[in-house]
Amino acid sequence: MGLLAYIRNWSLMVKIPVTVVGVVIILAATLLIPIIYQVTSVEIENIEKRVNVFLDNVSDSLIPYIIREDYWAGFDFLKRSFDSQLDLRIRYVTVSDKNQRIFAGTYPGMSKILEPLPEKLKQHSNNGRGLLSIIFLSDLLLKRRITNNGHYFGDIYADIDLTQFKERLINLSITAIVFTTIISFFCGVIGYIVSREMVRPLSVLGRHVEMVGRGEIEFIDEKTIPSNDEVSYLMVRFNQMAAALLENQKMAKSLAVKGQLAALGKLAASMAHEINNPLGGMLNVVNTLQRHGEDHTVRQNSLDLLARGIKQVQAIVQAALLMYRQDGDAETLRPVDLEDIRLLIQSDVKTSRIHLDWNNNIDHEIKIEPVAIRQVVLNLLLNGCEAMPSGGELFFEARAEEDHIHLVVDDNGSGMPPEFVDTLVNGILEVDEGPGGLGLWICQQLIQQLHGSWEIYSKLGAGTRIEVTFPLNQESGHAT
Amino acid sequence: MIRYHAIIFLFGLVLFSTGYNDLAYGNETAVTFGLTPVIVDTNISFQKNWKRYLSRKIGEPVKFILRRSYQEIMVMLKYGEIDIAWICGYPFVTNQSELQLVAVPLFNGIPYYQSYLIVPSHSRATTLEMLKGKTHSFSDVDSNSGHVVPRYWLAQMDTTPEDFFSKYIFTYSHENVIRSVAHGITDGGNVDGYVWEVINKTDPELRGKTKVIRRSDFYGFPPIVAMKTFSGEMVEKIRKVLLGMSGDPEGQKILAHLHLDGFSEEDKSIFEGIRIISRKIKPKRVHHLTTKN
Repeated sequence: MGLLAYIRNWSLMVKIPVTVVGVVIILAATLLIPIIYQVTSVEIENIEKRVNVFLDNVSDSLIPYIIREDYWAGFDFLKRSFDSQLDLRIRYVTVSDKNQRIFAGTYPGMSKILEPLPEKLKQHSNNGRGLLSIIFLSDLLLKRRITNNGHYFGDIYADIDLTQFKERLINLSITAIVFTTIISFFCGVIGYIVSREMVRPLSVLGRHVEMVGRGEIEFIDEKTIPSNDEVSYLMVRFNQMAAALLENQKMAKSLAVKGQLAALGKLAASMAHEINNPLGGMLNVVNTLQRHGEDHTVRQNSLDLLARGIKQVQAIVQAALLMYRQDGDAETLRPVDLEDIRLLIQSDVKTSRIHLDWNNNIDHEIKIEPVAIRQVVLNLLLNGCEAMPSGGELFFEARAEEDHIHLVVDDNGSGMPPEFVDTLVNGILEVDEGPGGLGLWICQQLIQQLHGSWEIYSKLGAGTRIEVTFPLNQESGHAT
Repeated sequence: MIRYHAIIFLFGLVLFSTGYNDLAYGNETAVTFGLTPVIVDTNISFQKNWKRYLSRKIGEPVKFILRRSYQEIMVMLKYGEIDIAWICGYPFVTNQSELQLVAVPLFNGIPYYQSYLIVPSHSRATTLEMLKGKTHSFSDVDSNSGHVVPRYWLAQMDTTPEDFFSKYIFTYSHENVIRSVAHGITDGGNVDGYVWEVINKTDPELRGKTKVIRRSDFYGFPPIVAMKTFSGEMVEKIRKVLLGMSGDPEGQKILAHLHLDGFSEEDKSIFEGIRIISRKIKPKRVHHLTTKN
């Protein structure tokens, strides 16, 4: 089972050639083995026929010698006949008389006249034929009766050497194996090339799908799409999907703008509130001035109060201006950029009677896009405030490390459901989803754009801690 | 035997190709020389050389006639179909009244040879007695060393080949006796000692395959004979040529091929030994007619 699983994990570029080679080998085996069997069997049959003809001729000529008991001449004739048949590959010929005693024999151990016939010859039966006999036997014993006009004179035996057939069988097999190896090698190469051609568009597709996973949507070049097969169908489908995704992204962007506008509206409202507070005081001061303006002390105090109020308004307006300035060279985040945010959320903090624990540990300029950072921080802080409508602790920390900046926003508000947290960290957030609404969606988008990451620890009713990390030393170009 | 058959065939070819066929078959003056497998070297080019040598020396074309057995050669001699023949001592003894000695080969310097009892080199038999009940090879029925001597030995043991051996065969050549024993067709054999010595030295196929377990007494070496009726003048001529072979280089070469030292003129008494033992061989069943002899 382990092996099967292992094989299942092979690349197509291995599986296909291996399958092709396997098929070729099986095909070659099923074709060549019967052919080899046939060829060898026919050869053995032929040699048997020829040996039988040889034995018939010899036995006819032997009859007079047997009748005359002319052992020497009989042997001499047999030996000469035997010596002239080298191509038949007969190992030995033995002739027995009618009493099963040796009349003549070419094999030194089986030539002594009148000796009883060896058991091997006596018990002769037409032993197995064909391929099996070649594999398992080294010789093939043939027997013919020596008769004339119905008279029995004895028997003649010939032992055929099968090693030649074995050699030929081995040679044939080697040829077949070499042939099969060469063919399967070429087929394997072809299989490899074909599978590579098949896999290439698949890997292109895979690469593009992977890019989608990273949020980079790129169409597959129409030229690389094969003409009209299943893979091309997949690729065309992918392009359609990519188009749909791009459309989605566009929509999301416009939604983001809407979100920004909404945030702006919120901000404007809080700004108005913030400005309204000193304005009320300032209006009182103006009234006081109108009535008691001639009193030097009152005038002086009133003007001081007015100046403070105007400065406060000026600070609020300046912070708002900075928040949304789109200067082309705004490439650095200054400590004051974050301080502004503190000012911007001041009204929410106060309204909800929240205790803000502000820890801005950034004391130098950092080369990172400030607008996005500020938006993220602002959104997170505003969300924190929103989660604690009736007061609580809001903790903020910002610190710069060697290769990243680290932001922490911690509240003890209402918290978020775990599945929403999971979607925030790992998934793609629907625009109008969950608590925090647009704010968190914008954060997700911005963090993604700056290749940052965030971790969210949240418990319903207990609060939320969000830690965001933005890498530094990176060309902060927006990837689309 | 292979060689033997091939020789007859090739010999014919040679005769045809050299133009001797006219002389051989048509010319009355050709000297016909009968040979049996007693000759060790059946090499065809050697025979051609020897024939040319003899033809030139004698001044007459010489034709070699090869036959399988002594018997055939003896019959051809008697009917005048061949003039001279190299036969065994035993047919000479039995046909002494009609034959004259032309010359006797010298082997190891003497006109004598022995009969060898041989067995396969791996055989445990060391005596003739140990071969009882075994199979045995003889060369020619009329061969002294290859048949008469072992029969005589058995007669001394008061037995016959028929009773002593389970089976005996004739191979009609000393070389084939060696071959049959070497090949294990029979358990032993009797062979011309001269042939065995030469073959055991020169034939790579048979060398060391057999061993001698008994050597006989010395008997007169197979002689070259002619019918008494054959021209005494021609006999003299041939004898002179044969005896002179050891004296000239070409003849020496031929003799070296035959592993002989030469030919000499000997008295028929050197075959007395053969005559004596042949008389001591007893027939299996004694007929009243033969007992008188």
